Amino acid sequence: MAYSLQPTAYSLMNKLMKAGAALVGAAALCAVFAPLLAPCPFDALDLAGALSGPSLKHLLGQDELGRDILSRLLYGARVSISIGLLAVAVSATVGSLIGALAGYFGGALDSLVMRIVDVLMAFPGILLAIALTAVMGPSYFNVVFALCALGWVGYARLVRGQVLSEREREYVVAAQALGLSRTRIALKHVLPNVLAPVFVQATFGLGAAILAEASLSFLGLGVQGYPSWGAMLDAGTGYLLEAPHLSTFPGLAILVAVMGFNFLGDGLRDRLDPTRRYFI
Amino acid sequence: MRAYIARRLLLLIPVAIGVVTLVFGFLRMAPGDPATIMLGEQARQVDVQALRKQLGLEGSLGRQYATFVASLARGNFGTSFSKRQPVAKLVFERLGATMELAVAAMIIAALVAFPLGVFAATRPGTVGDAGAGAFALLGVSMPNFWLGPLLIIVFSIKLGLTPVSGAGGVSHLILPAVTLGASMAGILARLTRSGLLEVLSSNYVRAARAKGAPERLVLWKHALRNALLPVVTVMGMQFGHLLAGAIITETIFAWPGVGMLLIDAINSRDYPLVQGCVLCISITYILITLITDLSYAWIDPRIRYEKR
Repeated sequence: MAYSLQPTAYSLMNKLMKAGAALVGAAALCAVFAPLLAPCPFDALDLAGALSGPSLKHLLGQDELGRDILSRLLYGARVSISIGLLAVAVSATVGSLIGALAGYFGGALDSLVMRIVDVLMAFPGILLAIALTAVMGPSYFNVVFALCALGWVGYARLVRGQVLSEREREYVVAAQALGLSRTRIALKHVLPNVLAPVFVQATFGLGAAILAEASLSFLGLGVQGYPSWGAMLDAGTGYLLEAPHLSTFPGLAILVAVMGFNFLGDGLRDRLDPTRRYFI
Repeated sequence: MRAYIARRLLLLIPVAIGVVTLVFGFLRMAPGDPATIMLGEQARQVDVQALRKQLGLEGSLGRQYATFVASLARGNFGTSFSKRQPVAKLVFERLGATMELAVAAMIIAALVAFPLGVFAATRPGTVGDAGAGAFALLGVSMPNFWLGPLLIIVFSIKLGLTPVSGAGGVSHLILPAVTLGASMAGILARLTRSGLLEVLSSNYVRAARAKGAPERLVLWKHALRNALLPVVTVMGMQFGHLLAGAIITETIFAWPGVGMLLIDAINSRDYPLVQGCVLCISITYILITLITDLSYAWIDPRIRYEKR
């Protein structure tokens, strides 16, 4: 009995990756064009229609204050996706720079960075995010900060590991022979060559960041004064029986966006490393 | 093995110092004066001063840190502002419930993940494999704060099989444990499948087949044991994440654990209690990671020799 993947598996993996890219693309388009796509302003109240189910006028129904759920979901995509992108961009950039310098320079800098990484890795991410936003107050940038506070650590560890093997390559020796500064070699020559796995990790990181932001919003620690998927779901859980659509659509939005990034991440990882090809 | 344990315990010191420093830093990161935030703008200056003293916010930062560490060393986590009881007592009373929930979630995750992973790995590239994969990914991507309410609607309200919330017997535990364990089940199923696929194409499995061992024996006796070794490690590591994930699950199901205590503390701006909960979850998380590392080194001798 052979346990190697059949050709159909590759084509299926490819399809799942494309599906992931399509989901992510659709969510991004919703976020960018929310003002054009939304049928109503996200904060337009209509108390008479409160908790109404889906109708032609309000395709996904209305919430407890009669606001259009579809419009709020579209605007909520802006919060979720922009926070996810910002948190991952900052974490990946900071983590990659620190990891590249630590890995290339080695010695005391490397030891110091790795001890800090050890300490931060000993903290469950969502716990730190909850504690930080609870103390600093719920706001857009505090949420991003809370997600980045631990987010950079994984990238630093990943890039350091890659740089440790990369720094022995011939082109690095050549750059050293040409007299380039060590910082320049680390950041301009070595770092770009180890970025591929960073992009894969960032794709998974986006899904995780969206989930973390929604968790914070669900706990009332997210962005205030603007719709967010987590806060909509939290509000909807108060009306589980009489109006389940209030929590169903935000829940689906989070699930679909996170799944999209996970499919895409799986596909990218498999393309990068054919020995790990699996689509489960 | 002793040298490995000693080295691993030594590593614990900087980690513990770092965690304590981070928790110390929380209160100082609050915008404005924490005592004023807790008491409100209308509070009398005398009360604010008294609370500042109680919170250890007086004197230089170095002195505050020294006092904070000295109090922790004596087992004094401060006094809860909202409940007027020692933080340590409140937190440790709740820790058992959180551990119970996390262990139940872990068991449910393992019971779902291992068969699912084996099912997928033994038929790679088939529709069954893809279906198992999609199910696993669904578990990983599903927000537990949505899954929880969905389970309540179906099993508690519609079918009346389980209580809606609170703690009691096993019936109270099932829904929160499934909610908390869903993501872990997805992760473990993916790992079981990939680990098993790798082992099934290794030489010793080929040798077992060549000598005519039945496929069932090859799979369950030869392959699965080795494939599950890394999965068990990840289970240990993920257990810490379950403790953190329990914060949301406990809130949904009103499960009386540390997570719910933390959210109550946040809502009542009870900063000493927030600090106590964070410290408790983090220390438990670190200890579990340590136990996992040590047990893995015990199971797999390569670890303790490689890291010398």
